[in-house]
Amino acid sequence: MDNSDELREAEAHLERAEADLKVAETAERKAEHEVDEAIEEIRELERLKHDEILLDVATPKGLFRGVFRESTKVSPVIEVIVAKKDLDRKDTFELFHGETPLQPADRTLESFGLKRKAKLELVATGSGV
Amino acid sequence: MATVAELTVAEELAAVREIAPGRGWKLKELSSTRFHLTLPAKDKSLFHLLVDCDQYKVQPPAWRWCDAAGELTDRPADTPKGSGFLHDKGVICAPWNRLAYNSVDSRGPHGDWTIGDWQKNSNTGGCTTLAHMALRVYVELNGPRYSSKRLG
Repeated sequence: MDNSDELREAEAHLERAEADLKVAETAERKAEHEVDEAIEEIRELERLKHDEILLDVATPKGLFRGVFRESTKVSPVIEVIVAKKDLDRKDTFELFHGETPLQPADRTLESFGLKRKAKLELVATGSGV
Repeated sequence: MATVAELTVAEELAAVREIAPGRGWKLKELSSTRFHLTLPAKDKSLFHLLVDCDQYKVQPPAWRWCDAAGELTDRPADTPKGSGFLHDKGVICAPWNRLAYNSVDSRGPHGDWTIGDWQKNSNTGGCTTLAHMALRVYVELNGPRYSSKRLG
């Protein structure tokens, strides 16, 4: 192997190392972000009163996090999320908790077994066949 | 100069990117109008979609089931079943999926829909952005109508 081959190999090695470093830096930033989120979530849960629930809702405009009374009905929760996320008020939305659609929407959060913290999805109704 | 489709996709994918980590989704942007999205189902199966937003929103995106690498498409092993939405013909049946139109894809169940009117179609509801659509698929994969992978 002459010097130019060695140089090419070293350059290729350097390129791979730089690419690996970029991937590692991205992963590190993501992990830091997740740690920050987890710490914030713990603080939020610590601040919750005994009858409150922290909702983490995936909406068509990104994430919504908010604290509600467990006795709040589903429809006003949807109204708050639609307003806060500036979603189109003309559309109708449904909340889902895993397999469960939170219907009818005049039932309370706690009546669906939701306590302390829940991950929900907000979906436009009638959006498929 | 960026096209309207490229600008719209860039804007709408921001919400998908925000939702993804907390729901186990994986988003890989392949170009300014194409992306690969992985969504978990309630039985822990992973489903993958290759989404082509060329001419979006004049036309709806094409949501195509594919493998994890995004190289093989429309295989029964990569396709869910369980409802008219997760259609027997292997396409998502909704006016916001280009492949639901028989004029675009021979598997498309609907010859009665006009693709240019997809946003006005009553079955679209408010599902007019990429995050709306992704959430709708995710909810279906985790809902009572989902049954399993459609294996060979």
